[in-house]
Amino acid sequence: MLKKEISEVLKHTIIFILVVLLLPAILLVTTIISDQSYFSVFFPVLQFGLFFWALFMGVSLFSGDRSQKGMEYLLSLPYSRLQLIGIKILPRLCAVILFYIAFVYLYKTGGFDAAATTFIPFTAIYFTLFLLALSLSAFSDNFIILSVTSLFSLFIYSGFLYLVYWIVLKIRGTPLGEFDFKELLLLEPGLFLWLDLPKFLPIIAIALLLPFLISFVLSVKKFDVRPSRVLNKRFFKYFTPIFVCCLAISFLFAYQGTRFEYQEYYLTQDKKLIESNYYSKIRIYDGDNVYKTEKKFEYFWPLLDEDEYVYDLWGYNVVRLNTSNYEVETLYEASEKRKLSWLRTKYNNTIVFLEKNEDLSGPELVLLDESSRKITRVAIEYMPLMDYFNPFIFGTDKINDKRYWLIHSPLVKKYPILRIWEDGRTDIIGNSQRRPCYVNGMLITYTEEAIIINKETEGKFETIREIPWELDIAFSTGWRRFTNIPLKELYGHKHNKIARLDLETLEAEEVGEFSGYLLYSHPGNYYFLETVKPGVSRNIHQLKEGKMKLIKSFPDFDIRKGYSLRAFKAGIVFKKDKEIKVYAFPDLNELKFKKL
Amino acid sequence: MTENILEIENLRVKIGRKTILDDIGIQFEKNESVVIAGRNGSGKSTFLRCLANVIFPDRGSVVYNEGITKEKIGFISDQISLFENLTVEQGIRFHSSVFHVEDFDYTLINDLKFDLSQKIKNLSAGERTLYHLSLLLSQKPEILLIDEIIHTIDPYLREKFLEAVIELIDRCQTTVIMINHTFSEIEKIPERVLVMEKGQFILDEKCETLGEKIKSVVSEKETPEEIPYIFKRESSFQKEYFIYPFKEEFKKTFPYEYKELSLNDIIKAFVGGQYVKEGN
Repeated sequence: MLKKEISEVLKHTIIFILVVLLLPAILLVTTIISDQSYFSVFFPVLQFGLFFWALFMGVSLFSGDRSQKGMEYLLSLPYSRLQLIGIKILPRLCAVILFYIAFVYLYKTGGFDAAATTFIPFTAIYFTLFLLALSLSAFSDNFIILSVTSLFSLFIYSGFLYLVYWIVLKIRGTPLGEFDFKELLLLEPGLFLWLDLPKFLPIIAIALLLPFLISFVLSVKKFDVRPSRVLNKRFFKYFTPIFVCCLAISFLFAYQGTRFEYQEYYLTQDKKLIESNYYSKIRIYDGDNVYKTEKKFEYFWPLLDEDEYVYDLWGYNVVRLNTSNYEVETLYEASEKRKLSWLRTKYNNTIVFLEKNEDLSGPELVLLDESSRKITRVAIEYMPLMDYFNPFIFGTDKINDKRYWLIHSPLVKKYPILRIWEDGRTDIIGNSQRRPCYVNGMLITYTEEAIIINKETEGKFETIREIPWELDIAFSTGWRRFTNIPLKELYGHKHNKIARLDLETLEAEEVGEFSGYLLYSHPGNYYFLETVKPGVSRNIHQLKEGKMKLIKSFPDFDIRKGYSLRAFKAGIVFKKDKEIKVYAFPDLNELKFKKL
Repeated sequence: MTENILEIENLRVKIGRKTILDDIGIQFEKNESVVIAGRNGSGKSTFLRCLANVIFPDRGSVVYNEGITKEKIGFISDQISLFENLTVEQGIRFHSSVFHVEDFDYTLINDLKFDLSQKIKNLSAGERTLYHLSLLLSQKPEILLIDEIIHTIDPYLREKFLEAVIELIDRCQTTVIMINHTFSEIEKIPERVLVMEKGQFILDEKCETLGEKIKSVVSEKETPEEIPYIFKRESSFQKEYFIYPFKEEFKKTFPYEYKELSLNDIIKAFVGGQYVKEGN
């Protein structure tokens, strides 16, 4: 019986392959499509052909037997219904999977550029279509009705998936944001869609598919030659309650999932814990209380706090949260078209970042006065900045009362460091193969052989110290902010050693073994999270004055599994699954938040 | 007492609101040969399909004797259902592998001079019937279920078919349950006759005693009410009554000339009676 099914599937496979290979050739030869390569026509044809293939493999479960008038013979064979279904499904499932593997290979080896739809939507639709078509394969004797019903079911299914997601987000009070479901339905290419896919979405997608599959298995156990309406009645008798249950489960999963998706925690200097995630309102935990804000934006990713404010300088807009009255303000609404750099910087009362000018013809420096909300735009006379990838403002200073800002982008050829004056002048003051930093009035840059320490003299940066070390070290104040507060030391790592740069003697030294992560809570505060084996961490050490001091041990946790530990000026936030623990400096006593 | 090979209890099959089989309960014995007759649409084929596992009853059970597996049940439907796209040889190999037939008997195939490479769909109805039967015979079934197919076969093949069935009954002690309307050629086969009407069996008698229980009477006048009849055939000058159940004392009490009936006539009487009932 299995050989017969395999033979039938093989026959269909050969026909399918021939059609998919020949159709692009026909289109090109007949100049219906011209000026394109065979592969660039073949790949989209293959994609849509595979959708049809998935549909066909699903609905054809019994169509061959019906067309051969062999249904009664089939059902009289010495197999149970489930055995029969299993024998029929197996070769079809293998064919679907094998073609999918071939598709993945072609996609990765060049199909990406020619694809009509991106990977995730294709995969989702391909397998969903197959499974839906399979579960409806006994719905009718007519192949066309089966195909139309399956396609219609796909739309209904997608609609319910979207409905669950939409309702939950409405309940959460969140706009849909960057993850736009329409992209999946309309098959528009979304390059990084896979990165932003909510984790709960596959779960509810499966939950909503289960009623079809379970109802099919239960109803087909008594599949016979009576008119299909008898089976359909049985199918819907099972389907309705199972679907209602699965819909309820989907809502719960989505609701819970949106609670914890992309969750971030930030501990302020006055020991308030900020919780934000992609969908939910921002929560501020303050001792025994918790406060929620009304969301006005898509995502709040706090980077720094000063006084009573917590700032999101990374996201789409510039946003700050007032931790006294729990109000959220958008200080600046960015334009997607004009964005030149993702990261903004705050210095004193000024938030500074780079954008393209209004007609997108050149770069400009944007200075936002936090108090007055006044925006000053300074045109920058340096066109190559338009081609920089995510230029990073890493320092600022003044010469003769004229302020300048230091900018670097490590992915630009020759790695120039720009100095941009607030009157628009730009000069290239040096190069650095690694991210430079500006601290204590010194500019620290990197060549392949050495660490170069520069100091400004009469408007120019001159080398005052060169420390010969191989590349693979970067001292940093942390990438989220810079400071003009004098520091005593910097830490980085060099190969498997922790390195320290004394900012008074300008001497570099190795401090200890590096097997873990350097954590920068605040300029001047350094911590080291030690890994005990690949991916698994345990101990946190403070780095100060060249010494490494163990300050806390945790139960082993695996960063690869989404566990995290972040250090802030006020303490540490430790996250393991949904367990959050907060420890306050200096003694790292646990901070209790009653409603966390 | 011969053991029951098959027991049916409270069998009910519906399609939509229409009840096809209505709480049927019946048993079949080993090596029994049974003919089922009845009007078109009475539920005979549905009943047979339930026994063959081709239709699942909505209620009730079909219980085979311990040791009877699905491999030991042979079924030919009135559709003569097979995988038409296979060749004769492929069909034989397929059937043999599924039913674990080690030595396929090509006798009937050779007698009929089938081309093994031709597709099953190219066989005539009669050829397909014999071909299907040869497949079933090879699996040496303990129960053979045959729907109304004899009428599709020419007289020569019909004789071959019936010989094969008889041989099966004798050799393998197979229980044969067959649906048929005409009995002139198969009178040697059935030991038991069932007549189905509206999803119920209205007659279930052994052939050897059936002749004693059904007789006909020709009369110009109406017969007394005490004589039960299942069917009355009228012509302009006489009436023929088919009496069931006949009792010997009728001969004394009602001195008519009671005629013996053939199996064919008996079945006609039952079927005809239903038509008359419905007409009334």
